Amino acid sequence: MAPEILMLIIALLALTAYAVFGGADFGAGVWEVNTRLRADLREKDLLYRAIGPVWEANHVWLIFLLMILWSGFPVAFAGISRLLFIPLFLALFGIVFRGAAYAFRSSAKTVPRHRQFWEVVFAMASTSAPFFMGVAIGVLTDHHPEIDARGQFHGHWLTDWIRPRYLYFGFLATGICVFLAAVFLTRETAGEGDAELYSRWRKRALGAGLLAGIVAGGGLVVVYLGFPEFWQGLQQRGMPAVLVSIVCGLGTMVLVARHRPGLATVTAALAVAMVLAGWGLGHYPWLIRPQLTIDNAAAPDNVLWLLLGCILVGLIVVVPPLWWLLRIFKRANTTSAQRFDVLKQKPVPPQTDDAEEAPANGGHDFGSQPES
Amino acid sequence: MQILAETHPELLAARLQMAFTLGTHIILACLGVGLPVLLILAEGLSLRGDRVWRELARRWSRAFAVLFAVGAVSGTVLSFELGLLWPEFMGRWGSVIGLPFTLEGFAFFVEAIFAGIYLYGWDRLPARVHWLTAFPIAGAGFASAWFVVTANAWMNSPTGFDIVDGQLVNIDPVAAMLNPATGAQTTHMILAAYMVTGFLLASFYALQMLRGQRTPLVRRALLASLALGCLATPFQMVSGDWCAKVVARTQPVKFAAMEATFETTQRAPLHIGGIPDPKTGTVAFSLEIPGLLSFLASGDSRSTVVGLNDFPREDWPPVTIVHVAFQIMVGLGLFLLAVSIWTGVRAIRKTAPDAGRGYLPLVFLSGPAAVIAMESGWVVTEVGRQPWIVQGLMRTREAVTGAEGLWWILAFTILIYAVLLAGLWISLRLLAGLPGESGGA
Repeated sequence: MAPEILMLIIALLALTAYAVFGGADFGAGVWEVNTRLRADLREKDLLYRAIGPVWEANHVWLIFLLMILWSGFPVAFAGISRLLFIPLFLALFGIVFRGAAYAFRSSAKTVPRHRQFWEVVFAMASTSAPFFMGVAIGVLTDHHPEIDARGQFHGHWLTDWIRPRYLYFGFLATGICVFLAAVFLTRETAGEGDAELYSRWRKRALGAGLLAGIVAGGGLVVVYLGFPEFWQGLQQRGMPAVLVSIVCGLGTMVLVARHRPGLATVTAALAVAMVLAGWGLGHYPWLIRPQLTIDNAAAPDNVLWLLLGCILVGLIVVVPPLWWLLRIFKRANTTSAQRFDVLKQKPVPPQTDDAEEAPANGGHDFGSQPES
Repeated sequence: MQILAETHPELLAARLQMAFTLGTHIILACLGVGLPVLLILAEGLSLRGDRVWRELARRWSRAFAVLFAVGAVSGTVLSFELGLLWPEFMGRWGSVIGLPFTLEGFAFFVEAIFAGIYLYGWDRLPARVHWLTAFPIAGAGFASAWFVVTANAWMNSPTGFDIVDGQLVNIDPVAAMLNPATGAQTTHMILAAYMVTGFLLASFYALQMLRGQRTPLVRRALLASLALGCLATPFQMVSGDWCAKVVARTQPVKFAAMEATFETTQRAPLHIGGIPDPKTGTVAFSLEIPGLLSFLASGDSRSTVVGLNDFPREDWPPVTIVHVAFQIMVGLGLFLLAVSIWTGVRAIRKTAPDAGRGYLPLVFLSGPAAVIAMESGWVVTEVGRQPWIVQGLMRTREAVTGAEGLWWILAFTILIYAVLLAGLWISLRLLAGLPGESGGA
């Protein structure tokens, strides 16, 4: 197989990993916009813990994607940087504030005012980052004669990215994040054996799934009407992925409804992965239409093979510790859940951070009415 | 700079943006490289059941978590900015120099994963296993610094490709990584990271002591951080000398600007201090030591040092900035060497850290001194390479984006970073006030 195709597949996998894991994280932040969630300590505690283990590792997927595009397809990367100048800067501001707010609010547990400020920042930043990244993908989907074969940009940098059909991708991306987060959190609550939170998140997952499904279906119409060239590619190559995505999306709804949240997270992730795969297949072989293809923008073969070798070695180094981290965290979460149960019956002074807020919940029953 | 600003109004904004975000990130990055070493030390000493060292390791690990998170964010900013601000640089050279960035991505990933394990593992792993998980953090921090500085070294002495008819051929990314400047520059930066970490922390604890907090914890924290900073300093002098020799060989213009040497001379004198005037080609207020510069450049006091006048004027870096920044770096480096030697003497004589009146204030000054020295060093490297982004091959103004409004983005960025740094400051202060063992990770 040609090395540039392997590189693209790896880039798409990195994007998928970022969309699934990072997307669920972003989505959890979007859910925090909901003021009722912020008023309910137990809900909030769940959101904090769920984001916990991977937050600092997650942007690595994005950096990795940027670096693959840069070293593997330098000319296209230059073109993309120029084309997406404003939306990427806006997404970046979102990422910056989100990461910082996450770090600061957890160290500000004891100072409510300080903490509340960073919570609001966190929620807003979590919403804007996926939105502008979605817009960026929307822009990239279109036909851009203003980008020449050397990656130079001859359009209007400030406003060219603002088109309704591009912005639609922003809403779609945010909707997908919200849906993913709700499904992941349903599994989380089921694992912790908290019946009330579980039933709330199950309803939220169903609601968000319905919404995301409608937006995604609308997305197909937008693509058909607004991106005729991409639509052609999608019809020729991408339809199987789109169909699998639809099946997985519907399957997720059925599984959540039938109380199978573990399996539902798998199908939800698969549905998102297939959306991206469909996008990649529809876009192939272009990086930026109509000038830059994966052939004319790729680095020389020897460079690509070297990069692929390094990526392979890197994965061999990275995967075992990542697996270990997730295992430790999972075990930690189950023990904290047990502590939670014990504390519900008999509030004793907590030993670690995780349980610090639990006695407050044992004493007061916030938000007992289910979310609609 | 005046001339450049006229031909390209946005270039200065892009350069300032890059300088500002890199200059901020580098401090956090230094702590990300250096703090894990101190964690290894403190937790290692606690393994025999010493509660004070354990408490210290816990405190440092909490600070590390916050600093690492903010550092990860400011690093993400840089990876975006490279493309957004310098698209032509990326488009032209990506296949040559993309490799170390990809590898750095993996090193950062390893660091993040083990940081996660370390921070969540305090109560969940056996003590010795937990201690061992700090080693990959330190190793990966070292590796990321090495990879990234490799790329910068390449910009100073580009190798690993041929140019035929304007096209890049025979691209060899490994040779590009192992360019002539790599050894000296990576060593200099990694040692700088240990010095910045050691002296910054020492500075903090010296202040605590001066304010009357002379608990065993503060005393040991001071000793451990001083040990890191003071042990790295003598090696830094040697690596600095190595760097100067490499620059003299690979970037003679930069070397001439650093040393404010206008005329090509045998037995070239070393200018200590002074303000060079590029218009007249003279250096005001400087102390000259004959022959020393020739000796520093090549190891032979009779050798010839090429002066700025031998190069076309449009290839000169801003001489005044480069020379002054270089003097600041060297001066503060020597100050830190003096602090290190004094600390060593006191350690041999077993003098208590709070004995005597002059010592603690001096240690307090060493933290800011280390940071300023490191930033000045980067000014020498980066401003000294101007007007090139890739020495001799691509000018900075050719690389910059065509987008407008960079001044607005710069203003926004400064505002955002001000908020971030304020948040970081408040968080670290809150952490410093927290009780230890019961706080968790």
